[in-house]
Amino acid sequence: MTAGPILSLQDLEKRFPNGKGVGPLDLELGAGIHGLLGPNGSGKTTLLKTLLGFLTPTRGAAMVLGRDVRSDALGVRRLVGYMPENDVLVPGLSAAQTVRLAAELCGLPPGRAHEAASEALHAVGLGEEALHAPNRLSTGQRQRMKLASALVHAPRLLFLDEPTNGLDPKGRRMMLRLIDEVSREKGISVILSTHILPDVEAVCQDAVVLRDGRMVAREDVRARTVQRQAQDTWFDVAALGGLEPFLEACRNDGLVVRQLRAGAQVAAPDPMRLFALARKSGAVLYRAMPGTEGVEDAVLAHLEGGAA
Amino acid sequence: MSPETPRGTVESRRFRTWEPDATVRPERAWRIVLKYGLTQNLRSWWVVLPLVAALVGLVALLGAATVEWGSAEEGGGAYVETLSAFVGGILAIGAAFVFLVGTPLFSEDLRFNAPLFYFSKPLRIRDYVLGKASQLALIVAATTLLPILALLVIGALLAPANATPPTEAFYLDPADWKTRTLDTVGDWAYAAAVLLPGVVAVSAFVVSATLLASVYTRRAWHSAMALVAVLGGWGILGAIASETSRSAFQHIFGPGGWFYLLTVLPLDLRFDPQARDAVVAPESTLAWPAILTAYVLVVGLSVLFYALTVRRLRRQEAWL
Repeated sequence: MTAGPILSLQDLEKRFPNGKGVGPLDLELGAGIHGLLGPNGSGKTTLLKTLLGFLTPTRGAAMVLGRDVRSDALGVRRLVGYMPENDVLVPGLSAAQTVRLAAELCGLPPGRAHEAASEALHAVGLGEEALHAPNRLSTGQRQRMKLASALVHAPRLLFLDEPTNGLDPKGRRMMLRLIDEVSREKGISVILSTHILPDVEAVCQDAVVLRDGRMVAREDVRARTVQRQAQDTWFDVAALGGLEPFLEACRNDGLVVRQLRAGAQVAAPDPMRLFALARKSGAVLYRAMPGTEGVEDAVLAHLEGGAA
Repeated sequence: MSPETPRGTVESRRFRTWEPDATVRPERAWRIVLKYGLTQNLRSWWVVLPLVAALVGLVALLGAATVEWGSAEEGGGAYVETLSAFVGGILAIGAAFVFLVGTPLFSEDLRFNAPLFYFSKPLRIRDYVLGKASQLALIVAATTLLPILALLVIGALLAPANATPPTEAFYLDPADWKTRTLDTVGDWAYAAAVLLPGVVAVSAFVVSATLLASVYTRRAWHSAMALVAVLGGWGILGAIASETSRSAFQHIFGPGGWFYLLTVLPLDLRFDPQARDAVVAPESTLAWPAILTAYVLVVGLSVLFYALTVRRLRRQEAWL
């Protein structure tokens, strides 16, 4: 795994003439699997394309694996594997030749590229079918070919844009398993851009939530999952005279708190613990109703404009 | 177990990671684009079948030329007549390959989002364009330049049988080699010096114009239509010019004229004064200025078309 941050954004912004785009963003990510969550049009793909140097930032700075995307885009692409959202194929080449071309373009000599392509295709579970043209493969096989093309030069970081798009449940589970294995066993960090929340819950350690190009939240997926596994319940809470002292007491007690535009939610094993904390903080808690739970709800809350 | 669910994990399937810095040599990237481009061509029946047919045709053509010149009466002038007819045929074959190989170069890549694949790797746009340009240049050279050179050599070797001014200059007579060698070597050197840049300039123009037509469309036949429209319009201009002017400059206004000005005319000026007088008289003094103008135009337009192609790909909305 990489010691320093894999991604560092400082006031990064990319705006198109029509006003759409992404940013300004300030963000730092360490090694691991990170989700980039948001609905269609929230700027996820624009962000990835800016990080690859396809799009020039309007302002701000971005470093990927310590390389500046403005001045060293080729260096970034050498260390990063990118799996685009849409089907990409080089007309006239088989899937195996496409992966081998990807390896050679990344600098592997022909013999080693052949070897690396075979290994990458085998790793993603493509066998003889890789000898066919990509347009003769199933959607799942094409997705895996794209993953093999992104992986073949053993990058230190993978950008995966909607990798489970169009996959059936079995294919989706397998793709997520591959992503998890690649990160865990080969030490390759991953930024997974998706609008499918369960995908993030399945493999990511945390998630950056984008809405209208802006970061509206950064969720600790593991903590959420642990909370949910411990069968904590999300309670909508309200208190007389302001919530903040009570929420502070909850945080100090190790409970997860999320603030909504109107009120807040606290995950706790039972409401009595909340009342005890309210008493301790001097707050008068007049509502502790079971609300929704888990990352999905938290993210939805952010996306619907409820969270600060 | 179905191939959809591979056994074990990525590690147990022996996926290895390479050390990138030790192996990356991006300076040869254009050659990789060229290599895989030729692989694409060789996997396509649309290219392979015409290529085989063209090769058979070219061999037959060279054989026919050899027989024709070998059996011609001495001084009969069969060389020049046959050569111009055969070169015309070879150029037509080359033009067919420009359409078959050249028009899909970018258009089909754009149609299937291939630039996103290419540029997500450490590949510069200029290397991508250079790779594609070399692919077309190589195939066009193989189907036109090599046969034309072979034709010239065959004609020169058979010079005594049809000794007219252009060919007799190249003939190295074994019986008279001491007195003829220096002259003949000089003539070959002159021919190479004027032919090579001329052919390269015309090829560069054809290739860059095709690339430009291809990069603005997402279907090969759209690019082909664009090329046909431009060549057709230019041909009409050439026809009008030939009716109104008799100087060597008239050739600048026709698509075939540049080829004449940059290759045939410089040869005629040295080896065939009779042919030169017939073509450019009475303004024969304008021949070299016309050749120079053609060079400036051909090279300038080639550079411009190449730059426009690169610029088009730099504007990412074309492929993102």
